[in-house]
Amino acid sequence: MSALRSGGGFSRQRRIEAAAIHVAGLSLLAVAGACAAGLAVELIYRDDQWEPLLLSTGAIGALGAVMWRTTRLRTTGAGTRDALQAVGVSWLAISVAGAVPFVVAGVLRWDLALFESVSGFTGTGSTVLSPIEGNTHGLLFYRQMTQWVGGMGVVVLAVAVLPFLGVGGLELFRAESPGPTSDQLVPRISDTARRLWGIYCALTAVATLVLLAAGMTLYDAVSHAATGLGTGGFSPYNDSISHFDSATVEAGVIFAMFLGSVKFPLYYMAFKGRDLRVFWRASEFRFFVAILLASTAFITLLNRSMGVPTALRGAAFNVVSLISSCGFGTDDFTLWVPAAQIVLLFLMVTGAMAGSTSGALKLFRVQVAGKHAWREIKRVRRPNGVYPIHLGRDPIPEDTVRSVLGYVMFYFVVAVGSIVVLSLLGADLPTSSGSVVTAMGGVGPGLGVAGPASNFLVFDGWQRFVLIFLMLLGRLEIYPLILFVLPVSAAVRRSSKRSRRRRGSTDGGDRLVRVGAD
Amino acid sequence: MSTSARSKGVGVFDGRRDFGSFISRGRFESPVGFVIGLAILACGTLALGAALIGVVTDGRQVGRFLELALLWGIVGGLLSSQCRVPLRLRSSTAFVGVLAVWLTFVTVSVLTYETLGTFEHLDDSFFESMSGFTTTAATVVPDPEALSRATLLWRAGTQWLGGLTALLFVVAILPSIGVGGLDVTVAGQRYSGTSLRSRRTVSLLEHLLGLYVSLTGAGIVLFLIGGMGPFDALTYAATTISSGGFANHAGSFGHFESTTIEWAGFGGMVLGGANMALLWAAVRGGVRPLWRSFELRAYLTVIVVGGVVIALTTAPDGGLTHESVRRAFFHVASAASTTGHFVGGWGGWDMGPQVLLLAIMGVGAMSGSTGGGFRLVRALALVGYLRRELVLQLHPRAVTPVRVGRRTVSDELVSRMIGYQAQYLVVAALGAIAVAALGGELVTSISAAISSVANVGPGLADLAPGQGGVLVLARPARAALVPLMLLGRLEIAPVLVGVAVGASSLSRAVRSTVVK
Amino acid sequence: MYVIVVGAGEVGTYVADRLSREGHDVAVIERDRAALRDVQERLDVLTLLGSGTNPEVLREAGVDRAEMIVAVTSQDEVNLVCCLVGKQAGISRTVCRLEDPDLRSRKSSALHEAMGVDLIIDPDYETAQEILELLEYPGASEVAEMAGGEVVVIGAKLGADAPIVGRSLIDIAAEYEPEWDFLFGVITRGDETIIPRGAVVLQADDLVRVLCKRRARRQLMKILGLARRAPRRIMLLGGGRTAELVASTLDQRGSEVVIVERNPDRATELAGRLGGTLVLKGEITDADLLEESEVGTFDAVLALTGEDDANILACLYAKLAGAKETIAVVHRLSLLPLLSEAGIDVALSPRTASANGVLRFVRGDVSAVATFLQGEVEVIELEVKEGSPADGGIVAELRLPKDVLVGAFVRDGKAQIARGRSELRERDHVVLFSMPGSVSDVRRVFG
Repeated sequence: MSALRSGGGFSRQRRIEAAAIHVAGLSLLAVAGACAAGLAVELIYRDDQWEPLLLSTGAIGALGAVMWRTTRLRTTGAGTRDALQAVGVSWLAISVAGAVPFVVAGVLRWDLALFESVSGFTGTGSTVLSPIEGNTHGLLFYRQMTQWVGGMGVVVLAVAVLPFLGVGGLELFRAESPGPTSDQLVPRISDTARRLWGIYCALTAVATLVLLAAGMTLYDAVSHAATGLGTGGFSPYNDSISHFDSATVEAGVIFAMFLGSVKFPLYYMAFKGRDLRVFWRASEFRFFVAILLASTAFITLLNRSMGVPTALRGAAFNVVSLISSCGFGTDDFTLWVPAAQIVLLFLMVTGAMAGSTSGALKLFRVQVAGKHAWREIKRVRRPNGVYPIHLGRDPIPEDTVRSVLGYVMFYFVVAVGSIVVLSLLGADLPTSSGSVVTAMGGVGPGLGVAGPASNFLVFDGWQRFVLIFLMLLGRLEIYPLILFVLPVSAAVRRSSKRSRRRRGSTDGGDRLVRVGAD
Repeated sequence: MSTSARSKGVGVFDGRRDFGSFISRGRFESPVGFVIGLAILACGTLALGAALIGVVTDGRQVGRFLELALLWGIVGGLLSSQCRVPLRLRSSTAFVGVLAVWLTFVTVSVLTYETLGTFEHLDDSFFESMSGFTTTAATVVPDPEALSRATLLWRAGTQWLGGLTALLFVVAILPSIGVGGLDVTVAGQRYSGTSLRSRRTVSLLEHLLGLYVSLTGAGIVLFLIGGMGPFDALTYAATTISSGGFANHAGSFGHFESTTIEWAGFGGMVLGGANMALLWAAVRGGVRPLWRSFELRAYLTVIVVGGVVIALTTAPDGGLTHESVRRAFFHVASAASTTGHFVGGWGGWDMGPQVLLLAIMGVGAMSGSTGGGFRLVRALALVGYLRRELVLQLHPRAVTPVRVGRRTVSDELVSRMIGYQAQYLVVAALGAIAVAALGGELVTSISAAISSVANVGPGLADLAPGQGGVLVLARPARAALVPLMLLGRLEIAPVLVGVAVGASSLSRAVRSTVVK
Repeated sequence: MYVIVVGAGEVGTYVADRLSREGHDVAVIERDRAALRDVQERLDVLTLLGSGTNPEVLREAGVDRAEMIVAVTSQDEVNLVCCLVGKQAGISRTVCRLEDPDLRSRKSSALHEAMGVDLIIDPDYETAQEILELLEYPGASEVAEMAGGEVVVIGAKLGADAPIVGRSLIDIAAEYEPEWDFLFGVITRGDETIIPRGAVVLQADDLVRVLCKRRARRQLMKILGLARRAPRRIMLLGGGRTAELVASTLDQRGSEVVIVERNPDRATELAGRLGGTLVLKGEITDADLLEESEVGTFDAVLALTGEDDANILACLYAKLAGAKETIAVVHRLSLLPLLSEAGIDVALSPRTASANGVLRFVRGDVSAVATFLQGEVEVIELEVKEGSPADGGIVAELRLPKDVLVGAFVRDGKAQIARGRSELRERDHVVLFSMPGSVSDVRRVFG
C-alpha cells in the first residue's frame, strides 16, 4: 500500500516504477554475462575477434544496467499481470540483445541472428549458423552460454538475485519456470531460485568432469556440458556429437542430458536427505525411465536392419537427446524407418520431467492427461465411480488436473494450428510437423528436410518467424506470451468482465480486495 | 444430465410395449442375442435387396444373394425371436450390445464377401466390411466397376446400414450413458420437442429412421436430376447421406464429369454431416432451430472458410476457375462430413491445403450426424475450455463456465470431452506408429491413422484418393487400420468397455458351465 | 528465524505476512485448500496442506529447523495440540491462540505448561484492550502506549481546523524549544508514508503519528485539534466477546454503556453478566432501533460485529445521526481508506492487535511493538544493552538505517524525546519508528 521512505518530504520518486523494465534490465545483464564469457574464451584462444564481443558486452551490459538502475519494482510486489508482462518483456529483450553479437561479428543477418538467439535462449538448438566451425571460439562459446543461461531461465536468475522481491517473485518464478508445479524448496522464493541455480551450476560442473573423463578437451567439455544440462543442444561443431565419433563421449553426453531432464527439486531433496531413493519414489521419474527404455528398445527393434549394436547406440542417444529436448545429433534419424521417426516425434512432444530444463509438455502432464483419459473410460463403465488421479502417493487436486489438461489441449491446438500454417507457407508435412514440434518443445532438429543433418536455413523468412514465435511460446509455456503479445489479452479481459458483470461481480470484487490487501 | 437414464438402467428398447409380443415370446433373456439377431436380420434384408436389384440390372450373383438372404433371414429371425429383452438393462449390457452389433455386421459381411469370392484375401474382405459398416471410405477394391451390381449395392448398403445404426446407437444411446461428452449436443435439442434426451422412445428412433430414409430419397432425386442412372443414384445417395464414401467408380464423383452432380454431391455430404436431430427439429419447427444452432453455424463456417482457403491455395496459375473452386469445396465438404467422396482427389495439391484438409477431417462432422471424427461440438467446447484457461491465468478465481455458443457446458461434460480428446489422440498416435511399423511411410501412416479414426478413409500423399488409396499400404499396415475404424466409430470407450464386460461375462459363463 | 504458522485464517495470514516481510522464513500449514492457495498467491512463504497436529506434515514443514510455532487456528484444542507436538519435535517457542477464558486463565497454567505453551494470544481480548486505549484518546485513530505508558504514540488525521495545519515541522519545533514533549514520527499522505524532515508542511487530511510523553498528551491532542472530553455514554453494536470485555471494563469506570445484540439468547446472557449495562435486542443496521435508542446522543458508537459491512453501515448511520465518535472493527484492511473518507473516525482490526503480541514475542528482547493499519511502519521499544554500539552513543552518530527514526528514550522511568544530540546509555528504553525490514539492523545497534 505504501512505502516508507526516510529523510525527506513528499518528493518525486527517483526511480520509475516499472517492474517489467527492471527485471528485463537484470536479464540483459545475464546476456552480457554470457557475452563476457565468450569474450574471455576469445582472449584465451587469441582468435583476434574480440572487438565484436567486447562491444556487445559493453552495449548490452550498459543498456541492462541503465534499465535496471532507473526503474524499480512496485513496492507491493508484482501481480499476475505484472509478472506476465515482466517475463514477456524480459524474453523479448534478451532475444533481441542476444542477436547483437552475431550481427556485430558479421556472421548472420539480423533476422537469422534473431532466430539463432531465440533458439539459444529457449534451449532449442535449431541453428541457422552454417557452417558452424568457421567461427571463432569466443562467439561459439557465447552461443553455448546463451543456452546455459536460458536453460534455467533468466527471470529465475533475476528472482534469485533480487533481494526483496517477495510475493511478486513467486508469480515471476511461476511464469517462467518450466513445468506445471513450481515446487517450493524453502520458504522464500528467492532462496528457492538461488538453490535451483546452485544445483544447476553443480550439475554442470559434474557433467563437465564426466565429459573430460570421456576424452573431451576442456573447451569442448564445458561447451557441451552447458548445452547438455540446459538441454539446448547447440554444439560448436557442424556434426554435433558425431564430430567426436566416440561411444564413450556419447555415453557422457547422454549422462549430461539425463541430468538435465530430471526434476531439479529431486536433486535438492536427495542431497538434503542424503537419500537417493527420492528419485525412484517419484512416479514421474519411474515413468521417465520406463519411456526411455521402452522407446530405445522399440527403435532398436525397428532399426535392427542396421545391426543391433549400431541401432542400439543410435536409438539410445537420440531417444535421450530428443526426450530431454536437448537435440544433440549423432545419426540422421530422418533416414530411419518411418515408425521410428514417429516415435521420436512423440518423444519430442512429451519432453522429460517437469521442473527440469527440458521443454515440451513434460511427462507429469502426459501422465495426468493419460490417467484422465483412462479414468474417463472407467467412468463410462461406472458413471458414478469416483476416480481421483494419483501420481505416486498423493491424489492430484482436481483443479491441478484441470489446468494440466487445459495446457495439454492448448499445446495440442497450437501445434496443430501451427503445422497447418507452416504447411500453407509451403513446408511438407514431415518438415512442418517436425519443426513445429521441435520448436515448441525446444528440441532442435526436426524431421523431413529440417533433420539433424540439415539446418533451419531450409525455411524461408516467414516460416522462420513462425518458428521463432513457437520457440518462445513453448519455452514460456504459452500463457505468458499469449497474454502478453496477443490482443487476446484485452479480449479476455473484456469477456471476463462481461461474465463477471453478469454474475454480480462477487468473485472479481474479492480479487480486487485481495490485491489491495497486499 | 442423464441421471434418470442411468438410475433406471439404460433401455435400448425402453419402449418395450412397442415391440409387444415380438420380444416377450423369446425363451432366453438375452438382449445381446436379440440385437445380434436383429442385425443379422437387417443384413438378410439388405442381401434380399441386393438380389432384387441384381435381377433388374445385370443379373450377376443374384442366386448367391438370394441364398444369403435366406440364410441370414432364418438365422437372424430365429435368434431374435428366441431372445427377449428384459425390462431393465444395465448400461454395461448396452455396451456389449453395441459392440456386438458392429462385430455381427462385420462378420456377416465378411462371410458374404467370402461366399461371393469378391476378394482374394480374407483380410481384404474384413477391411472392406469394417470400412463399410463404420462409414469409412477406405476401399480395397481396385476397380469397383468390375463388381456385380448386386455386390455394389451390398457394399453401399453396408455403409447405409452402418450410418443408420450409428445414428440410432451412437447418437441416441451412447451419449446417455456418458460417452465422450456428447450430451452437449443432445442437450442442445431441447427446443425441438422431440428431445433425444428426455425420453428415448422407439417413436423417436422411428423419426430418425424416417428422416434418414427421406434424406436418402432426396439424395436419389437430386442425383437423378443431375443425370445419374437410377442404380448409381441409389448407391451414391446411400453412401453420401451415410457419410460413407464408397463409390461405384474408381473416380468417385469425378467419374460423372458433371457440375450439377458434383454440387448435388456437395449438398448431400453437407447434409450427411449435419445433426439429424437438428434437421428433424427444422422439419417440424421451421428454420429457427437451424439458425440458433451454434454448431451448425460453426460447421458451415468450417466448410466455407476451409473451402475459400483451399480454393485460393490450390488455384491454378491463371487464377480461380469454377472447377478449382468446386473441387476445393467438394473436398472440404467431404472432409468435414467425413464422407470420403472425391472429384479428382487432392493428391496433386501442395502440402498446405492437404494438411488443412487432414485437420478438418480430424475435427469431423457435427454431433448427431452419421459422420465421424472428433466432432465439432467437442471442438467448440474445447475452444471454450481454452478460453477459460486464458481467463483463469489472469484471474485465478474467475468462475466462468465453458460455453458452446450461448449454452453452458457442465464441468463433468467438459472433463469427459477432454478425456475423449486425449483418448482420440492416443489411439491416433498408436495407430500411426503401428501403420508405420508395418511398412507405411511417414505422411501416409499419420494421415491414414487420423483418417481412419475419423472414419473418413482417404489420407494424404500416396493415400490421397485417385492415387490408389489404401491399396498403396502393405496388407499388415491395412489391417492395423481396421481396429482404428471401429474405435473411431464407437467413440473408443464403448469398445473397450464392451470388450471388458463381454469378456468378463463370458468367462463367468464358461466358469459356471465348467462347474456344472 | 524459521517460524511455522498453523492456521491460515485472518490472524495466521497476517502474522505470516509480517514475519515473512521482516525477513523470517515462514511455513504455513492449513487444512483448507482454498485458504492455503490464497496464502500461496499472496505471501512468499512455504505452504503445506494438512493438519498442524500431524507429525508428518510438521516434518515436511521443516519442524527440525523451526524455532517457533504459532498455532492460530480457530479451535483452542487444535492449537494446544499443535504446541504440544511442536514442543516435542524440539521447537523452542510456542504461541497459542486461546479463546476460551477458562483455558486462558491462570487456573489453566498447569495445562499450558503441560502443553508447552509459551505465549497465549487472544484476538478478541487484544482488540478490547486496543478499544479501551482508544477511548481514552477521543479523536485519535490509533493509540499505542509504549514503555509502560510513559510514551504514547498517537495517530490522528488532521482536520482542516487543527491549529498546526499549514505549518512546517521546523516551525512547530521552534515554538516548543528547548524542551520537546512530542515528535512527529510518520506522516501518511495519500498513498505515501514518510518519516518527515523539518521542512515538511502539514496539510489537512494528513495522517500523522506523533510520539509524546504521557504528561503531554492532553496538550498534544489540543494541538492536533482533537481535544475532547472522554466519552461517557457509549454504545456497543454487536455483543461478541470483545464487546463484553469492553463493556465490563467501561462499566467499572462508570460509563453508561448500551449493547445491541442480534441473537436473543446471547443478549439475555450478556444482560445477566453485565449488571449495569443496557442490552438491546436487534440488528445493528436496523435504523429504527438505532433511532429509538437515540444513537445520536452517544459520545462514542462502536461497531464490533464480525461483519465489516454491517459495522460500517451502522457507524455511518450513527455519525449522521450525530454521534461524536464512531469506531468500526473491520477485517479487510483494504477498506480502510474508504472509511476515513466516509467519516468514520477510527477503524481497527483484530488481526493487528494479536499480531503485535506475536511480533513482540518473536523479537524476544523487544519490549513492545505497535503496528499501524496503514503503512508498514511499526513502532518498537527496546532496551539498550550494555556494551552495544548505542551504549554511550549519540543518536545522530548511531549507524542506523535510513528508514529508522529514534523517537524517545526512557531513563529511570522518565521519558525524553530523542534529539540528534541525545546520548544513550545502557538500560535506556528506546522507542523508535522503523520499517519491518530494518528491525534486525536496529537490534544490532542496540544490542
